[in-house]
Amino acid sequence: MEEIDEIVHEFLVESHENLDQLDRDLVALEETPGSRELLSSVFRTIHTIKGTSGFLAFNRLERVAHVGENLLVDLRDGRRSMDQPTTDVLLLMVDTVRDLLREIERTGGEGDVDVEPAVAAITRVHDEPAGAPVAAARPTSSDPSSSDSASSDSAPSETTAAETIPSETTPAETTPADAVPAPTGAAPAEQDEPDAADDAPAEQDDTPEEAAPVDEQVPPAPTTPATTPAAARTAENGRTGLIPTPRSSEAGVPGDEIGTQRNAADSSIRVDVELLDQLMRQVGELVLTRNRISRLASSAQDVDLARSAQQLNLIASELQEGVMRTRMQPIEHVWSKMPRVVRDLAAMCGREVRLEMVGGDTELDRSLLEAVKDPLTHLVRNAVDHGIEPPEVRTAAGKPAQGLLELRASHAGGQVSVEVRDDGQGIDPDVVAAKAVAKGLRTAEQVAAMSANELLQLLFLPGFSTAEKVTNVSGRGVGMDVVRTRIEAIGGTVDVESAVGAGTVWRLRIPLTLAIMPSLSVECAGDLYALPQVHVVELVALDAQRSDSGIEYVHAAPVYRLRGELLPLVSLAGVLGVEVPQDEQPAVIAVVQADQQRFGLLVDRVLTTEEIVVTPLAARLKAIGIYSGATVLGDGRVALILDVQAIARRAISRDSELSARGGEETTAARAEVEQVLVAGIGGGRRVAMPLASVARLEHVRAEQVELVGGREVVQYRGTILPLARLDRLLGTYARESDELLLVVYTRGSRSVGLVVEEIIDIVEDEVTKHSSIDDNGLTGSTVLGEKVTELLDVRSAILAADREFYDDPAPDDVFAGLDELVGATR
Amino acid sequence: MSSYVTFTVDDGLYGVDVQRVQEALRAHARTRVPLAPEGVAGLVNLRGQVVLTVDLRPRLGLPPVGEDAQQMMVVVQVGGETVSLLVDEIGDVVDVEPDRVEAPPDTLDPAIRPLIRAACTLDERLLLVLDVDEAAAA
Repeated sequence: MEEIDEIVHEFLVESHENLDQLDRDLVALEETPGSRELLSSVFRTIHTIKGTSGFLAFNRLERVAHVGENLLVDLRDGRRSMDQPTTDVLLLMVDTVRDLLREIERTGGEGDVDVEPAVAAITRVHDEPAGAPVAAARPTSSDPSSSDSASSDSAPSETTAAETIPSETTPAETTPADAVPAPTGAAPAEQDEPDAADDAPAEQDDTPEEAAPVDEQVPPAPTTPATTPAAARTAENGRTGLIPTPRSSEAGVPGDEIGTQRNAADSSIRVDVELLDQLMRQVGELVLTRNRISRLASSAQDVDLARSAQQLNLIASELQEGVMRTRMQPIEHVWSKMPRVVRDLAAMCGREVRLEMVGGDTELDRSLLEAVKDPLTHLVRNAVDHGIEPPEVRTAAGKPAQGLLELRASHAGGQVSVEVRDDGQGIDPDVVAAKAVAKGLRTAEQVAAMSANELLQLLFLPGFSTAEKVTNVSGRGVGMDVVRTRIEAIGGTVDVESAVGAGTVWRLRIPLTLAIMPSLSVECAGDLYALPQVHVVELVALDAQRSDSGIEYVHAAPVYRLRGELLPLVSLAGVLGVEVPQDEQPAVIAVVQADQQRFGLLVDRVLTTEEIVVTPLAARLKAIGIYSGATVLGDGRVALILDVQAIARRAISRDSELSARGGEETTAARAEVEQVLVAGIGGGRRVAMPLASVARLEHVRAEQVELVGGREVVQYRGTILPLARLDRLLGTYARESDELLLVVYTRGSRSVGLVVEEIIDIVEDEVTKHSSIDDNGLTGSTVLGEKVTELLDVRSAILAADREFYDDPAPDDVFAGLDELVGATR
Repeated sequence: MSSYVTFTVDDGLYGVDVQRVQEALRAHARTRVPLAPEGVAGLVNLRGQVVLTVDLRPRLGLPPVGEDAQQMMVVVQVGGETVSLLVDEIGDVVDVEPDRVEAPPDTLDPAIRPLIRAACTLDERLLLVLDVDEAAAA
């Protein structure tokens, strides 16, 4: 119900403005009857009101607007020229509409406003031959049969206007002698209403939106100066006759209630966006100044100063929030187009799609709203085109024929999260992998080593499109990479989750506003940088006293053990290519999160958290790709804002296509690296095996091990898992234990378990630095974590457990055979 | 008659169109921008505005200035952006009569050529007029 109210409210605000404009237009139109521009404007307005009222089921309103429109069609098509009676009835229509709107605003319904007089009057003028309007009008006005409703006269200034004013209660004294035409008076009289626009500016808190770009409807009336002198004069005359009109519908309402009720149009105003932007900038400056003063106050020992600074702090924060709110718009503004997009697209692609939108009132800065529009549309199109299957496929898969596409928006931790969720076919990571290989974006080895989630991230690579055929819906070069670029450009993130057969969720996280953001000032090689707090997960202080400081090196790549997990480290100085003085060693790890990746950024010091105002960078600095902007800190220094995502892509991901300076070193060190699982097999020996081919690690109890045909197996997830004990295989002895630790390898439907004593670590191993040893079951050795580690020949180890493991195809019969054997031994 | 704000870089006298100059002032503390192109000397806080500072020396093929040299900034407007040019000393605003303005000499280093719009023969020395857009794009 609330949503309906919101729509009605907007409709009212808009219509009130439109009506004011309409008054002016109609009057101006009478002066220049031939103006097509004015006619079109009038026609548009009435048409809009008619359409919306029909939609909102305000039938009487629709009826009035409808007959008015008919009349306007004649005018527009030149079948009739604008003359006074026409203007009169049109203004009468405007007044009736206004009455209705007022009633709707007060009660939510059309109340008992009688539209018949207006409808009758308009119809009459419409049905008349355009030639002799005045002659015809006079007789009708005195014709009793024409006043089909109880009371319909009160001509403000002329008898010809008898039907024009729907004053249902008070017939005002008519002043036929008054030569000034009534319609001219009608408009200003309306504007002189007690709740006219002049008290509006103070009341903007209810509806802070409506900040649409300036259009011709900005309230002051530059279009009417020609009529104003006359209008002012007639306002005096017309007033006596006109005032009862608007009041009539409010007759039953106590006066004070009217006083307290604000007209919808008056409780919100349209403001030039430029002005808001300017305000925002100034507030930004204020925040900076406040920061500076806070800093000064905290160092001075002056209590009064501290108190004032505190107060300034509060006020500035509230002001900042308030100004930010004025720029906020509900995301609905972008979503409102979606039903149509979905409908058209579904029809075109032969899909049945139900669109659900949740959280449309979630607000975000309008510049951001603008920026997410295209990416969001793209995701929606993509979901309909590629996500949701054709009805027959869905039914075959046991899903309802109608697909569900959900848009969800919500606030979460200073960010707005927007989800595009479909219940379609999902994205198959294997298909993505195959595609990436086929397109040459990744090698087969690379994709083999990637988790399903990592594979999905490949969708965001430039030049990737999983659409099997290029339709005119997608495949137009706007790929997910563009979506990601756009969203990241505004400091947001995109990620995707998908379950094959069940659907896909695209999740955008967007900052509330661009202009001001909380950030952490960090120091690196004597310079200050701002690290946006959105990305900061935690800070870890390194113990400077200890010589090793906890940082370990996997060859050139530094890592840190954070609560048992290995955190790759990136030296900020390294990324920036700056020289660090010998005595300055990184003392803090800022653990940051970007693009699903977590890494530690090594900085010298962390100074403070601050709200910073983002200043855009000159294009050629932006092109460096490390900084997202600059800011002036509280002490007046300029600091560069680090683009964490860019740094992550540059320094961390092996697949980054970077060639720029700074990142080279790190990438070079990582080029030939693969992740290996290091396991102890007893007797102090360690073996390493490629992590990529490991499916799982499992613990099983020793008594679960059964013997089948002389080989050890365990029952595992409903199948038989053959085992190979690495200690025995490699000629050592592991501790006897109640529990066996298995490294499970899977290929097709076959799995084998390699029994190890303990899992030591997962590390990165530089493939080129291996020494080869020719020993049974090993392929070589290497140094990992300063210990010599043997490299396991996984293939031979697996074959020791299951001789047919690599015999493709038809793996099933072997297991079937095993099942029988198991059955036999029981 | 054209008016130029003059300044020196190393030993040369240069000028920029007075219309393009917003102000000239003592150089502020700069924040360096690692990985930036060579000519970028850093960012300064000009009354709350972050302004890019361009060092003209590398562009003009001149050696870098000494560590403790006190430099000046000529703040110019380039395509709606404010950029400050780092110079050694600020000179006068000079008016040059049209007949004293000549094309830059052919012997000029081709690398510097796009930077120099004209050469003006003043009474005592030669004034090289810089193309502001080109200079700021260093």
